This record gives sequence, structure tokens and C-alpha cells, in this order.
Amino acid sequence: MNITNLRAAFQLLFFVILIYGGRAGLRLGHFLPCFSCPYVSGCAGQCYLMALQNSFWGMEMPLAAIFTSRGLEALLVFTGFLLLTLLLGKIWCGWICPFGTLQDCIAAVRRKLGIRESQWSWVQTDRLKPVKYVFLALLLVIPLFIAHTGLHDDFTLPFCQICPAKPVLPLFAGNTGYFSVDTTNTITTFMTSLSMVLTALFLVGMFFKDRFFCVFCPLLALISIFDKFGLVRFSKNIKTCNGCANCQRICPVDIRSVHMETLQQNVMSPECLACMKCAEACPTDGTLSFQWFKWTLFTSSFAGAIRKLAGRRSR
Amino acid sequence: MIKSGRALIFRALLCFVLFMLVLLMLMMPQSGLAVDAAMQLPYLRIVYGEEQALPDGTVLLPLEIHCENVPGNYRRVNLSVVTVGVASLPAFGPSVQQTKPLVYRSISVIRTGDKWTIQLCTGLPRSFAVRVQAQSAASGKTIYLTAETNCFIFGRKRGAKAEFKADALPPAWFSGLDMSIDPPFYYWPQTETPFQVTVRLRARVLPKTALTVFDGSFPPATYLTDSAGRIAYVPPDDPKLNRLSETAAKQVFLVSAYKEGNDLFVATRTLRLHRNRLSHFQSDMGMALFGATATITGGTVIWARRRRRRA
Repeated sequence: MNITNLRAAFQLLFFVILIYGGRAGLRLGHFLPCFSCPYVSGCAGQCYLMALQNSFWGMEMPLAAIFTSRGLEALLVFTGFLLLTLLLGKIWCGWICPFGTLQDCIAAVRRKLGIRESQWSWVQTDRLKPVKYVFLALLLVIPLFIAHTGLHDDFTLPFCQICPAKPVLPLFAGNTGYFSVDTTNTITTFMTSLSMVLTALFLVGMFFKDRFFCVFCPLLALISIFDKFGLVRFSKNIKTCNGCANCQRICPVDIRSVHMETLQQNVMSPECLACMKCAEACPTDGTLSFQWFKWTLFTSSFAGAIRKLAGRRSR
Repeated sequence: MIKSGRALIFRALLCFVLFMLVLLMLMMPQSGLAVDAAMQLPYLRIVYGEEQALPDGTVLLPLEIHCENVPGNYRRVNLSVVTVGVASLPAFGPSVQQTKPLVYRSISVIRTGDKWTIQLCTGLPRSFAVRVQAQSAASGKTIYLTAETNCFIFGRKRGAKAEFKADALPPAWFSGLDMSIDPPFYYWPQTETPFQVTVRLRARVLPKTALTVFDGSFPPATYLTDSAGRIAYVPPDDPKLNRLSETAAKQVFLVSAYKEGNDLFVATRTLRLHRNRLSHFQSDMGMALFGATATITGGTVIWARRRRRRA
């Protein structure tokens, strides 16, 4: 089994576990570093972004309460998130995240239909990189404004309100209820309309571009902050790289740095999803490798690249 | 012949209109005199104070007891026995049924000046049934006053234990009217959600008893209980409440009175209603917006790709 098929199998397995696991009594807490959406009834665990917006900095917990038992609870949730992030890092994005799996499925449909992926220029890619950090900053700042400046409570969970996973993932549990506009008041109307518009934009984007949402994902931004301390490593042997740029061409999020890097061994960039497609496509033995602690998870090989190429040709 | 025919039709129409008017009046909630009478009734009522979340995760909910329209000096009303019943429910929800009878335990009333307050404090997510009783006897007449409410407190203290260790109150303690609601323990009482109110006196249902709803956003309305002592009530959508936050709540008071011999029984139930969470969800609008955006975006992308390919 090649790494692509293995990854697809893991993705499907985790998709089923995270979306339906709660029905079998599985409770993985509310600190998962992936889009296991709490709006899916019967989900096995919850995305950490909700806890981050709601409890840690949010309206339910003023800053003065950080050193109390409630602060400790929030800290425990954060510790849970941190441990999971340090343990698996970007593997959460490339191998586990249900929304990532959905994006890969949509892209697979596009490929089956014979539609080419949209190409972005490097300038466009570079310009879009900071957007996820803006989302991350907003989802931290808005709850603080609600708590301390009297911003209307209906802005609570600002990112969850506009996150495309909120209307889309509950569809797999048979709930179409979030594909609607809440006309309770002006704010709810605005936020739910924005949610519908963004969901449509992202779904169309996902169809034409691999892992389109990941470019804007604040959770990826948060995980990448702790990348340097994580157990998952992505390294490049600069001496053996032949500069073929296969890694750049195959990357679903158009990372150039792996191909361009000529000095450092660590090539884990903030946008990397650890999908390992680059290592699989690399034709030189041991040039690109993913390690977990001191063990190698996957390393590039000439034979592997040929197998992948042959596989793609036959399709 | 034609003239008389027209007159006949006119009379028939007139009768029909009159009949419809009468029907409409009968169907409308009784107002006017009944409401005025309800407003003049002596009554106790529970008014929710501002909930306080303490740093350790405990939540404190003060409940004020207001006593109004009691003849004579209202301080003569015996408010010494105020009790709180703790509902032993595993969870809140519309489907949760209360199978065991509630066990009421006494709780002290804090009196500061003219103010009477109960303080409910818990570190757990709990629901409480609160029942306040008082009596006033003057010139051979006894007034039995009851105020009830069901409150929901979301305590979040780590390692918190159940409260209220006092002994259960004896059945003899219960006096006055009961005004129970169904569903009783849904944690999110909200507008536009129907519920039933049953009025009882010593476990006996009271048919054809007036029940007045005092909602600050609407004029008071009086309804009559059916043969089973029940009324079905749907709190109307409240635009004022909708403009507030999702967690904001308004207090609605249900007042019912019953006279038996020289005794007057008055019961009040306080409802703390939130705005409805789901009734304003417009799926047609959402799907239309989603579809329109997807079509425009998809079309634009395809057009741009084709243009680039041609270039």
C-alpha cells in the first residue's frame, strides 16, 4: 500500500470515528486540533477553536479568573490541545481532520471529472498566507471585546458562526438546519448570511483548488505556532536533492520552501499539512523524510516515486 | 320579490357577521375585567435577580420574593416558611420526564429591610423547583399565597457536591394552589414553544379557573382552564427580546386565583423565557443565498479559467 492510499484509509477511518463516534459513546474531549465540529450531533470530540473562543479568553471567563479553578479548567483544555499538537503536529491536518478529508474527496471528484486544478501565482499564494493569522487574531479578540467592551453577545463564537464546517459537516449526521439564515436580529442575520456566502465560496474553492480552506484555516495557524517543539519533523537532505521540483508541483497548498530550501534541514513550513505527498513524489532516496521523534515515518525513494508516477499514468 | 330577496341576503349577511363577531370574542383571550381583577389580586411572586458566576465556578442566583396587593400590612404575611425543592434529574431536556415526586427541602430567607430574598448557589448544572408559600388571615378570611418557579443554574465548579442537606418537608406543609407546567424541566424555556399549565388545589384539578399572563412586552391576557384544569400557552415571539443576547431572558408571570368558602387561593408562577433559538431560522433564504453565491462564484471561476486558457 502506498502512502496516498494509506492516508486515504486513515482519513476515512478518522472521519467515521470523529463524526459518528459519539453515538458509540466515544468522548475525546473538546481540545482536538482538527475540525471535529461540535455542531455535528453525535461527534466524538470537539475542535479546540470553540473552547478557545468560548472559555479561555471568552466572555465566560474574565482575565482575572485565570488563576481560579475555572482558569485551571481552561488551562487543562489548552494543555490537552498542546499535548495532542506536540504529539502529532500537522498529522492532524493531513491525516485526521474530517474537513480536510472532505476537501480531499471534493478534489477527487474534480479529478474524476477531468477538471484541472486552478493555479495561483506565487504572489497570490504569498498574499493569502496571512489571512489565517487574521482569522486567529479575530477569534481571540472578538470574545475579549464582548467580555470587556460590551460588544453584543450575538458575536459570541465568531469563527464558529462563519466556519464552513458548521453547515457542511452536520450534513453527514443528517442535519441540514445550519443551511439557513437566522433572522432573529440584525447581527444574527448578518452573521448567518456571511456564513452562507463563505460556505458557498469555500465549497466552490475546494472544488477548483486542493485544500482551499486550509489556506485560511486558523487552526492550522495555531498548530504551526507549536511546530518547532513537536515530535513530527519534516527534513530535507540538501546534498542529495536534485532540484526536480516534484515536491513543489505535487503540494496541495503550493509550498515552495521545500524545493527552494538550500541551507536548513528542517523544511516544515507553517502551511505544510504533513500529507507526505512531496516525500512520495521525490525521486531521490532519503532526500525528504518525515520523522516522529527519532523514528522515520516515511522517506522518499526512487522506487516509490516511480511507483507513484506509474500509478498516475495508469489512471 | 327581488327586493325581499336582497333584504333576506342582507339580513343573512348581517347575522353571519354578528355570529362571526361573537365567535371571535369567544375565541379571544378574555381581557378587560378579568385582567383588572387579576391585577388587583393579592399575590406573591418570585422575581429573578442577577445571576453571579463566582471565580470558583459556583453560580449564585438570588430570587426576590415580592408580595403585592395583600390587604392590611403586608409584613403580617407569614413568609417564614420558604422552601426549595431540588429536582433529582440526570439531565435537562424536553424529553426528560419527572417520574418521582419532587422532594422539597427548606431554605432560609434573607430579609434586608422590606426585601425578601432566597439565594440559590450551586457548583453543578442543576435544576430547582422553588415554591414559596405564605398566608394572610384578616377578618375571618384566609388568603393562601403561592409562588413557584423552575430555575436552571449552570454551575461549573470542579468537584462540586449536591447542596441542601435539610430534611424533606412533610406533605402537610403544602397549602395553596399548585400551578405546574409541562414540560417542567427543559433547560432552555423559550418563546414560541408551547407548554401546558395545570392548576390544582390539593391534587384536585380546577377546571374553568382564570389564569392571567403578565408579560411586560404584551398586554395582560386571561385564559380559562379546560375540564382537566389545563391551559395550553405559547409565549409569543418578542421583538424586544430578540434584539438582546441569546442568553438574555424576560420574566413572565402567570397568576391564577380560586375561591373556596372564605378562603382565597392565589398562585403565581414565574417563567424566565429566552428568545427562541430556532424559529427564526429561514432555510429557504439560506439555501437561496448559498446557491446564488455558489453559482456566481463557480461561474466566475469557470469564465476566468476559460479566458485565461484562450489568452
